[in-house]
Amino acid sequence: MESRNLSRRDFIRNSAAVGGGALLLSSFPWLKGIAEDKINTSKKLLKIAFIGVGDRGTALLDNMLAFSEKDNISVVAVCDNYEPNLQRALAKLAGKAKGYSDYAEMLDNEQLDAVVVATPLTLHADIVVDALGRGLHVFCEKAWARTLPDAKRMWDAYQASGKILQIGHQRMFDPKYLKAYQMVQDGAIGEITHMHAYWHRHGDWRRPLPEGHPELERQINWRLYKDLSAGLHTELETHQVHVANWFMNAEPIQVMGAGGINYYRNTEREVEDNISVIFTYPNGAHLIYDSINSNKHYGLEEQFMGPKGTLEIEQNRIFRENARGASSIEKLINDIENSVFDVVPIGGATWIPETAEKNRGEVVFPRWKSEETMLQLVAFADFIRDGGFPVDFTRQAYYATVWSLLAEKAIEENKILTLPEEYKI
Amino acid sequence: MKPVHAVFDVMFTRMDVLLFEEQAKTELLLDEIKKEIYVLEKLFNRFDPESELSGINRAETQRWVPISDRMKDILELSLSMREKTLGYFDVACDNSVRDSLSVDHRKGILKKENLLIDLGGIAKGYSLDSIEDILRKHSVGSAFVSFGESSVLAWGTHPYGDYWPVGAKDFFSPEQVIWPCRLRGQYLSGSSTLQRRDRKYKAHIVNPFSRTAISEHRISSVVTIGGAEGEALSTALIAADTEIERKRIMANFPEAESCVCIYQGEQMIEKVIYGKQESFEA
Repeated sequence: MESRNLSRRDFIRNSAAVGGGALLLSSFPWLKGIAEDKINTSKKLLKIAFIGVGDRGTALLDNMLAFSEKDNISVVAVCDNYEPNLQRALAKLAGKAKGYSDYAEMLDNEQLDAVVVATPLTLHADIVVDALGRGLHVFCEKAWARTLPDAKRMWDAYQASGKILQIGHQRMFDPKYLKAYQMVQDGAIGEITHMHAYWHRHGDWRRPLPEGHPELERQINWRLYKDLSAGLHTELETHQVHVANWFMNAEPIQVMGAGGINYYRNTEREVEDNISVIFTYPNGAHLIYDSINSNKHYGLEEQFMGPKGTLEIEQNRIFRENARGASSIEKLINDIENSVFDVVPIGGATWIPETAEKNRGEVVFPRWKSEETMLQLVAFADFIRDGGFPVDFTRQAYYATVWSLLAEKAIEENKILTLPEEYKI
Repeated sequence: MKPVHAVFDVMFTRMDVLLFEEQAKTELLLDEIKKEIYVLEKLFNRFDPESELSGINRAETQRWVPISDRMKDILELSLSMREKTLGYFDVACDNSVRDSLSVDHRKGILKKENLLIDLGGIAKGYSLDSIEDILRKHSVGSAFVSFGESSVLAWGTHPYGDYWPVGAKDFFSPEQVIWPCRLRGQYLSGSSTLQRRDRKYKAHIVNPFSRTAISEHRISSVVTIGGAEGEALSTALIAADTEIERKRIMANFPEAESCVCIYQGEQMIEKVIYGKQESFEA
């Protein structure tokens, strides 16, 4: 229960330390609720239910429980059609919530303000459309939907509902991403002329089935089947396409790609284990994207390149094109922090760096901590009570999924694809 | 003590700003500094076709070109520096006719034939002067501002001493400090006749009289009470060919101190200090 206090205090302190507190808040007004350093239990009670409490749903539930009591939020019900998941969630809620295996029954029976949806991808559309239609605010995990028609159906329902539909692109609440975005807007790297993003993992996503229950294969290992999942596109790519679109303030105009299964052959898997995609943006910049399941050495990263510098956001670093090698300023800062009074050596020449290896870059957001999963839920609750939900969030999330699904299609059809008219919003 | 460290990319150079104020004041200062330096960049950057300077360089000749107050200010300062450095510092560059720069308070700048202006040798120092004005306006006690680590403003004192201990590095052995200085609200500016590009050293300072690039490797470090003055002076001292000329130049800057070193290959063969900067064991 202390986590939220710590997160807010850390957010304020960390933002202030880089001279970015007020600047960040002015650039990203949706952070205001997060930055207010007070817990107000006199706030209107919010009743929330969770639909889908598998691994991700459980993580969301844990994050919400970390602040819910102090923030006057009550998780009144959870729903999952897989009994072990449901029981695990109910145990966490210690008798304070009701359990359901049918979400519609839950929505019929419970008086709710909002739902958190973290089900397998193909179930998002029906649940979200239903919940919005019943007048509920919705937090839905990414990706938006499995198919383009479903994505559009959700968007139309959202537009008609007048409610909040917040998608789980948590980087919008991550201080290093916010700071990086602001740096780009301030021209720190110049115009973005090239992007490279990747997410490399080593694993086949396959989870063990309970003994004697082969019928659960598609329910538990849905990520491996084409009709239930777009694999790397919707599990990973959509996050990074979202970031690229956000930073570019634009969506792609076309996509092409290649991919397939080159490692997990002869396994019960239909989705690719490797994808390589090129998105083209209106200013001519490209996002070169690749994701694989067969090697984790490079991990994940989003690299933004411009004539003045490079951002590597996951690494929390910016590299200036005209940066020096060893920095006297770094030495001075280190001396001061360690109460050392020593000479600051200043160069008398203009050095041009020769190799990239000498440039260690600078930290984008010092003392960064990974708390964005919780912060996005904090913000969701604040948006419900106080309004101010940025409508662009939902639009960006829609296009992140749409373009990821188009990437899948481009690979399947071996074509360069543009956005079909019927999916423009 | 943790200073707030902000980095700006301006005039193709990195600027580091260290501040020691409380949060709100720090944010205010950084906001003001950022606005100021980008305004100046927009005026003085000759590589930006939309800058005021580019407009001047493109303007028709043999007529007066109206200019902004800031441009007048820096050009008049440049003319003053040219005079005090005996012509060894000059913003009218390349094939420009000598004495081709005329500035009138009301009319602007007279665009003579072949006039091309390059403020690269003074704009950074001028920017630091503007930052000093901001620090002074807000009664800032201590700050350290580095422009590409070749021009620094050491404002107030080091948090743990009664001056800022700053020293000029040896060109080839950067771990060695060849001229340690004690700065209190002063500037240290440095110049070198050689720039390192693509693993080679290239001459980039032109003797304004002979119009030839200076091939001898000289570096200068100067301590001044003004940033633009320091930048101009550091260039002039290495453009001047003889010690006599350098002494004559320094005589016009009674508040300044300097150190000029001459290299042969990677070996320093001569080091001369002008003025009476307090030195100490680094």
